[in-house]
Amino acid sequence: MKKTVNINLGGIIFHIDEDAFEQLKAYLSRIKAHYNEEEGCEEIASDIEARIAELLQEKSIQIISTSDVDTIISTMGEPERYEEDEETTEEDTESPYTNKKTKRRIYRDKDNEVVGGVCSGIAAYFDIDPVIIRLLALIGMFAGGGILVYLILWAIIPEAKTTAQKLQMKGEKVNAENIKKTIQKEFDSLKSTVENLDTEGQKNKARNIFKKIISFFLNIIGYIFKFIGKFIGIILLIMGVSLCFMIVANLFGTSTNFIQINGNNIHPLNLNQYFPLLFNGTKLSGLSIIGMVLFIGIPVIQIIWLAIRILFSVPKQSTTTRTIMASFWTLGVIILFYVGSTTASHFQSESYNSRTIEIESSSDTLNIDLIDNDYFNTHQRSTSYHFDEELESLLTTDVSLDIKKSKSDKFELKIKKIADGESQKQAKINAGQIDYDYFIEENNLSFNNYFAIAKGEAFRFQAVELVLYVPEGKTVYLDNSVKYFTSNVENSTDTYDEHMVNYHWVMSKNQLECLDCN
Amino acid sequence: MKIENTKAQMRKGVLEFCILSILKKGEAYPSDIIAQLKKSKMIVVEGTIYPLLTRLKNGAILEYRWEESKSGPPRKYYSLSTKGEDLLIGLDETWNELVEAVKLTTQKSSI
Repeated sequence: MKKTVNINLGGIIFHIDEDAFEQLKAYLSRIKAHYNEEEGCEEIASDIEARIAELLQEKSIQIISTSDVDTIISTMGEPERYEEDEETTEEDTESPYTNKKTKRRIYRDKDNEVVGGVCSGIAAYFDIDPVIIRLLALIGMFAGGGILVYLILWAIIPEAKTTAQKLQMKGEKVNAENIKKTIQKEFDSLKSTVENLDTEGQKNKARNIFKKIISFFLNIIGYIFKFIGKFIGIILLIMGVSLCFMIVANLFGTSTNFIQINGNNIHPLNLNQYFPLLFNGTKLSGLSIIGMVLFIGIPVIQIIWLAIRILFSVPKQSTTTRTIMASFWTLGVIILFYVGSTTASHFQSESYNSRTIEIESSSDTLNIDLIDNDYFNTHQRSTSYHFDEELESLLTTDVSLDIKKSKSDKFELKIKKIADGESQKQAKINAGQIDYDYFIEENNLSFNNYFAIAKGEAFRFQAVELVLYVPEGKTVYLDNSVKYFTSNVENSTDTYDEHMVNYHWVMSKNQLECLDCN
Repeated sequence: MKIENTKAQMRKGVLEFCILSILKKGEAYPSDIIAQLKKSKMIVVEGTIYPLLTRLKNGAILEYRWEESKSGPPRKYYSLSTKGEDLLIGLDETWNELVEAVKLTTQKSSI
């Protein structure tokens, strides 16, 4: 027992087995697909449909089976075979009746290759001189990420091996003009269907009109989505490529190469310069670069791949490729986790190194000010950092000054250097390596508001805390520059640090008192 | 240059010529044309004829009219347009020239 369906072929009703129906339907859609690009595709399909109806009717069978459909298909032939009978050379598009062109696809052009045929393939796709693309590629390589982009494209874009693929490489252009043409064609086919309604003998097509209109609008929507898709593809591509450049610039670049956008120089972060500061030894910093390249690079490659798939209908990634990508990404995560936890342990202990010096002063008043420097201004309290290329050091402003009462009758300065480390011992060594400068000159005490963490030393939250001990009865004058340098200096009037500058302060029995405040 | 291509190229032009010649004798519908072409072994599969007829029609070489059929679906009866008739005269001349040329060259080479 088999299920049969009723079909309308060329206006005649047939009973057909369900499986035979599927077979016939597939055959007819193959024909339609084959002539899809051609003017009169609908007509060819309906003519063939009518001929099939005629052949089936001649046989006068009650129910059409799969073997009947087989006979029909072998009589009519597969659409590919029509070409054999009639024309095979696809270059022959000059013929006045043919309007047939293959859809354009991107391939690597091995015939015109310099390296891998990527540039010439792209040039063929966009119908421009390969030299232009090659120049752009060359510029891209000097700018940084070009090589990476090239290698990705090399991997993604298939090579044009067969003649058919070579022809597809230069097939019909994919542009707005062509999409318009396709929509026009779609519209014409709808229009002709409507016109045929008036023609006798075509009335049986009337029931299809509604279906036609629906499919017309579905097709239009399809094209719109296709267009939006391409647009998204372009955005993804731009995103992916610029991310590539960023990764290369940030991980491997120096600040001598920069990107110019709207006249502003955008300096890359040059993370590779900071790695030695964060990690002890090259092993960890090397590992962290590998980890970051995998962790960020693989998603970027996938973005570019997706973009190219959208734009140029390149085959999907194989499961193997995807598995490899996923494993490398996981490896990146593991590496970063290892680097992160190891580095965190280097911060677990804190220690300090402190010493106190006496300040010889002939006068009873000591002026306190900051030394001008090229790196940091004196108008900020928050700690900031600056990597200096010439000094090859990280400069930080984590320095503060407190003023307290001296136990002796001399001015004294305590310099306390603080740092983190994996152990108390290491933290103390790190603290001892801090290189902090100040100057004592006559009655002047000049400080630097920064210190350097030299090359070869890692950043371990180093800080410098200064305490100036003032004997009873002696005076300090706070210059305007130390406004944000002093920290919680106790005084009789509870004046904020910022407001203590430009005044003379004398040390009374317990705390500082202002001499010339209003 | 592939031999297959050459053969196909030759047959392509001749197939169009044959269709036009069939239609010169009077209008015909595709099944008639198929029957005649099959008899003379010009085509292998029937499907070939339909895209070609459509292209010739779109090129204004052929015209057609619909006719109801008692036994089957409505039929498209094709005939030559004036342009088609002119083309056929041209093709006839070319054909005769070709036959002559082929005859001459093959004779020469066989001597």
